[in-house]
Amino acid sequence: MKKSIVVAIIIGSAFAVQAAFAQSTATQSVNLTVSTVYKISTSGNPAALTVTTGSAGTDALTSVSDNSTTYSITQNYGNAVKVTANLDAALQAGYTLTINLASTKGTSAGTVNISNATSGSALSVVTGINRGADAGQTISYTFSALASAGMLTSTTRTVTLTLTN
Amino acid sequence: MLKIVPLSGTLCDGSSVRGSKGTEDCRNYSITVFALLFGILPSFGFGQTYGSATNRITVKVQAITVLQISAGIINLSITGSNAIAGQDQMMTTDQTSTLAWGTNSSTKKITVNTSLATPKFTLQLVALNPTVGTAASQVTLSTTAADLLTNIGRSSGTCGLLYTAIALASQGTGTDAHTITFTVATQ
Amino acid sequence: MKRILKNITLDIVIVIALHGAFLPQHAYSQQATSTQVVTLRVMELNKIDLVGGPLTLQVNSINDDAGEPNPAIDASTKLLWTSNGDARKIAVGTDIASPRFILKIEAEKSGSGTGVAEPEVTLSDNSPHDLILGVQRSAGSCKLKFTAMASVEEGVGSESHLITYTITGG
Repeated sequence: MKKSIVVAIIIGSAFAVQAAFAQSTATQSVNLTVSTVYKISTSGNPAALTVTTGSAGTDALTSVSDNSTTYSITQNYGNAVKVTANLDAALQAGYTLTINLASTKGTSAGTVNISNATSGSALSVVTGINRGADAGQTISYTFSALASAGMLTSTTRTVTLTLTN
Repeated sequence: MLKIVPLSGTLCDGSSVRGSKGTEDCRNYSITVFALLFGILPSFGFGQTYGSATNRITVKVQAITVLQISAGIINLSITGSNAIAGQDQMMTTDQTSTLAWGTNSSTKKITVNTSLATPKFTLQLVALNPTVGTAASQVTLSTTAADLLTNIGRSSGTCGLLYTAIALASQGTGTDAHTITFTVATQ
Repeated sequence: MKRILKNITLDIVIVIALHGAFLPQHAYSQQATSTQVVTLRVMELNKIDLVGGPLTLQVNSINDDAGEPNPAIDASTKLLWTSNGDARKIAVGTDIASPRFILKIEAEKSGSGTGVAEPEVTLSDNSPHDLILGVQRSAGSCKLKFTAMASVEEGVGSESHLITYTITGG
């Protein structure tokens, strides 16, 4: 007689399936760090400043101005930040270049003569700038010359505006 | 080793068996044990039935929820590269982490909140491209739980997590440390 | 060896800790810059002007000794100039090709500016005559002395001169 044995598996007759997973929350650490930010930009170069006229008997020729460019700043450092200005090279005697930066976040120094302000002697043009942003503020340049200084063929100067503490 | 016990109670070693009626060849016995899953003994009528017993098995499946995040720590940093001169607002984003979930309950949603009661800066979160469910609008994280994903009942899925950090230059510098908690909640 | 290694490790840790302690704690000065290129130019400029209106020189008296009319003189007119050029001069001329009466002009330079006044010039024709030489890179001024003369033979009459002053090269 053929013997056959079939063994089946009894599944846990005495056990009910219990709930094994209950992870209904998860956490994640997110760290946000805001570092010191200094940003300054300008809208381009001013138009050429060309002296063409004057008055007979007067050495000082008629000055010319440009206020077509602007600057913008953003800083989160503090409330005593300033903007300085300098040229890459001083102007010859008899020629004068002044700059005036408007400001709503700080105090403008008004019209500042930067003819002899080079990198080591930059001059403050805006002081006491508060944290935040100032956009599209006017930069005014005025160029003047003395007749006694002679003519000046087209020459360039690089004006550097520095946002600093 | 499985021992086959004849219903008479004596031991059968596959050769012969000694029972109350004398030595018998246990190889002649056919013993079938059936799986008793639901306490119902199937009546198959395999020859002569010497007896039967029943057993009741109860299976219970309770609510199961699994929630997992791919990255435990996210670091967001706002520096000068995130700033535009003339703009007070500075921003950076992170979308390197993903959220995975599984739930066998219906009408579920995922909410999110932070542990930081008074953050200096703004942190926002939105779910990206969920494989199941509906992403809620971008939320500004607070200690109050806000919906991140809805309609995720009886599903498993994933989504990306897009963090957006916003700071104003006028706020200065600093650090906010958040512990973000994601919770599967009843919708 | 184990003990030695342990000691070495400890030393290194101490060094690192000390180095960290001496790192400067002050906030570093930070800044940002933006530049603009400014183009400057001064063209050649020559300006000349007069202060003083039209003149009338009246020859109306006779020198009793010479028996000739006394000259009429006027030095109320002022000449102004500005030039940023080099080696310039101021020339003067009348529009009358053959004046009937004599008209002389002389620059009495006493103000500022470069330039040397020439001797008195007689405007005998309508060509330009040098009035001031060596004008360069300066603004200056001078008085103009006009002298009108006539002889009895020339009789009575009137001439109206249009005097032109020019800054030119030279």
